[in-house]
Amino acid sequence: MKVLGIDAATWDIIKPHRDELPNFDKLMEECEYKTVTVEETPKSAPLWTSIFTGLRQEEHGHKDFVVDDELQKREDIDAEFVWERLDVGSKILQVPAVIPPINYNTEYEPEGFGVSSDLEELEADRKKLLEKSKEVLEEDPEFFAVVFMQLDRVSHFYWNDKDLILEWYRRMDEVLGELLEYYDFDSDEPLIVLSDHGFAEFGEGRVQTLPEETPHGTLEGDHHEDAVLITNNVEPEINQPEDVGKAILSYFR
Amino acid sequence: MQRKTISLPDDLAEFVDENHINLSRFVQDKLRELAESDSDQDEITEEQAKEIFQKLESLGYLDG
Repeated sequence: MKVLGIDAATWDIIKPHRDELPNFDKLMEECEYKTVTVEETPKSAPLWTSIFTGLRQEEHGHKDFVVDDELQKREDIDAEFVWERLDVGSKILQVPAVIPPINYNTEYEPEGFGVSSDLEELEADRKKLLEKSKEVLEEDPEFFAVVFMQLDRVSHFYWNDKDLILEWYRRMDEVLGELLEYYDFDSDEPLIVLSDHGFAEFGEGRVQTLPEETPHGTLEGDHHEDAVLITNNVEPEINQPEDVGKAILSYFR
Repeated sequence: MQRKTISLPDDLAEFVDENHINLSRFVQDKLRELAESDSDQDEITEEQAKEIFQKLESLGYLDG
């Protein structure tokens, strides 16, 4: 089973540019796709925790990367991630439930600890994580998951520069293309491609997750509750982030 | 102390008997080794934690 996460990806960019995003287009042709409207807080740390524990935010209680001025660590999350519960060969890369993001059964050190806002550093991290993902996929793990977080950082700072944003969607499309080389669309292997939340201009989302003005600069956009979900051979149906974790557990049990 | 039951294939069970291995102690030591190596992997230094904290602060994560 493969789960490919793209933090902050939104249908608002993907759907109107399918002709420029051939791998998203292929996924939409070959798989089922929908919008998941997140009912709880659309912040990455609790969302990825829900996605990979199968628990709602109110159940796992993890709220953010920093709580009460303390950087949160894996052990601060009072819940088991699916790979900790499964008796299968799992390889997990860069799940941003905490910073630095979580790896399991493999090692990866992100550029800028996974919270960079520098475009060159983000691009270096994207390429490095892609190569590492391919290296791991060569081992053909029973359960593989990876999360690319770069699009979220770019979207926060450059949302009004639509050419740049589209260029980064093309780069994420390229990532998908290379990773999907390891997936047989004719097989019965489950595949999930998803974002934790969408993205929009400030004020368009239900909840403001970051201030507009930060010490690093003015943010141009913010999270939106409408997330991307693409699935193949996955059941039961996914309607909320925690359903992803339930679907993973259901497949392997 | 909690009790857990494990199963062994015949050949390994014979090996344990023949070599008088204290299986309980052996498994405990191996699990402890594994748990310690896992926590080492996740460990970040205080300096790194401070740098991450500053980056998150700079990105507005602490104003929420």
